[in-house]
Amino acid sequence: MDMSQYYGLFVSEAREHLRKIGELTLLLEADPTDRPTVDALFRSAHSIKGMAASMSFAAIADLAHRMEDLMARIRNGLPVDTSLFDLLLAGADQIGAMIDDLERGGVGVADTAALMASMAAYSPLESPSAANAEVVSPSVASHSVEAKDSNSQQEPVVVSQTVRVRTELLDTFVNTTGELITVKHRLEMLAAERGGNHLKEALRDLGRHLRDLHDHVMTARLLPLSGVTERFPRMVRELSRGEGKEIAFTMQGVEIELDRSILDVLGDPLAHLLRNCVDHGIEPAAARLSAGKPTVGTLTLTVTRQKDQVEITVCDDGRGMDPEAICGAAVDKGGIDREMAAALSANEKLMLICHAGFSTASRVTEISGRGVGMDVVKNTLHSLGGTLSIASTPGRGSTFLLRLPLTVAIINVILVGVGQLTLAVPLTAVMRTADIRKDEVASIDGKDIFFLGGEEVPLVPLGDLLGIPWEQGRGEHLHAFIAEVRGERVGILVDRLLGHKEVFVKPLAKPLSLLPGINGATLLGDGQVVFILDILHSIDAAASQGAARG
Amino acid sequence: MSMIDPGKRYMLMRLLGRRFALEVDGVAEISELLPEYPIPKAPPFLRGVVNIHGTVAAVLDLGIYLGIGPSEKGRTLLLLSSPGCSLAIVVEQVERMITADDIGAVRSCSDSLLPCELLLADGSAALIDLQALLASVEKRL
Repeated sequence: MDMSQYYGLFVSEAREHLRKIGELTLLLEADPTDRPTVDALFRSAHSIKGMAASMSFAAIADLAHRMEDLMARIRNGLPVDTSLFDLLLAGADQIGAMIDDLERGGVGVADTAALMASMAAYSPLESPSAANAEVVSPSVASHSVEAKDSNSQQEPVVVSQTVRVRTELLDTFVNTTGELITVKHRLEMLAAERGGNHLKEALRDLGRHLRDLHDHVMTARLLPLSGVTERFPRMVRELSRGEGKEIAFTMQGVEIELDRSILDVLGDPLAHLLRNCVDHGIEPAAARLSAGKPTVGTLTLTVTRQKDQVEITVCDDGRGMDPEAICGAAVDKGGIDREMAAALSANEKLMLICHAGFSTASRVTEISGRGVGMDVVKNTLHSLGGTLSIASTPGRGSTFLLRLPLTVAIINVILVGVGQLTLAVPLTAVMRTADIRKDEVASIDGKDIFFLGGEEVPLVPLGDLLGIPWEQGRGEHLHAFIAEVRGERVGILVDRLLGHKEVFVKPLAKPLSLLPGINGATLLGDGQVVFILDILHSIDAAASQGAARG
Repeated sequence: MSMIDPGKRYMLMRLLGRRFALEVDGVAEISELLPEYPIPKAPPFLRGVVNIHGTVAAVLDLGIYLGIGPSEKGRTLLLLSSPGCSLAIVVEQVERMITADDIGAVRSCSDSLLPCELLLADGSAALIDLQALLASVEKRL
């Protein structure tokens, strides 16, 4: 029988089992008496063995068989210690590497003799913890195994309610939905010109169906964040062991779903934040004891959903960051001058760690401290239409808050006009719009401000940020949208506020993708190309140019 | 003739009184001029963007970029073909296609964007190195 047609299925299902083995091993490490986890580990190893054997991948089947044997011995009462977890993780990694080799056109064979010998020779340490970590009594274990075997043939066959769909096909659905929305806008423009109640009614129906289609397609594209975060427990485990630190790492809310295109780029920034917390945040046990803290540090990753945004919080209870020390380092490195530094708030000083090349680390470790990571984290978030904010208390710990839109493909924007240019601003970046009477504008230290709810809000012309002439407000009113920039409200002045719209974001190819302050473009109903503005990046770029001009 | 691939065809075009050549494989589409929309904070050599069948492409003013003057009289838009890149140029006229057999000789030049001059029966044409041009534009941005 030609099994090659099942090759793709073997790879994806084997990887799924390997992922489970990694996850289950860490669960077992946290609770060595957890019998269901032992059984689940056994089943995953058994499944990989069976699939690999049917595909004639003998080397993979052999190693999986050895892991299955190991778990059978655990089920039969062999005590558990740390070396078991290392063996299971090493086995999963090795099988993963062999599958990688298959995908590259290799034969999926590796030298696993030493690893398999270690598994066969597994003998837990003679320690009270090892003795207490015995999973179940042997008689119960064997009864459970027999019961499972006798029952296996009587389990009903369940027809899956899901189908596997290639991600490229989902992308096609999104693109087509986006193009349909653009065509709908064109039809709406034509209907407005040429009238016809029947046409308008039909367009309303079309709009309703398109919204439903859009919602369903976007739901299909959503994947749980756990797909990205599942590797983090093991990563933190290995990093902390390498640093000689004890860290309790927990994650919550990772079942929350995000657009696939966001998940694709979110993994590395999150990993970098966690690495920084392990390396620079959490102190070694001795230092923690001296500070009156528990020897085991706490690191958490929490995900919550707020309307159409997701908030991811990475929090540690380590040494925290001193805004003044960070500011001083930035001045010493020439990143900012003393006068500018003095004007920064504490939060703004903490955000200086996101400047390229910045690091206050006294040493560069394998993990971090090279100062090349936080700027990438910030820029990645901005490219997704998200934001990063940092809070920290010296001696108590730090919190990194990432805010992201749920989806990037179809977003709500406000359209604004500046001179001859029409631009789109993501609604997630806009707190509100404002029509400001000219007599409400005051000037303080040469800067225009107005008062909103008793708060002083600086006014910045978008034309000045973009280096284009603007009309500077005819009549008695100025038009603005209020954005939040690093925790503070800023009024961005425009010539025209043109309403809000739901638009399909077209990613830009080079060279347009290299232009600063732009996050894609959209096509209006009349074919007009409108750029989607990254307001924070535009402000940063303008500030940098201003500083450069001195 | 080592810069010329015997199996390839080249497109001859005119701009600002000069003749240029481009590998046909480097041109995805030829169209009449389309409405151009401004690009915020763009350098002078990027005229604007166009919407070509739903693709957003930047329009390079080749005349400004090569230092011979603005391409104000262009009537034809060439959408260039390169993976991951969406760039168009405007020319005054697309003359014809030629093959390596139509090229009498090749004269090397020192310009990285125009590495050689193709000597034809009816004159010459400066060969545009498309990949060098795209890399140069990216570098300047």
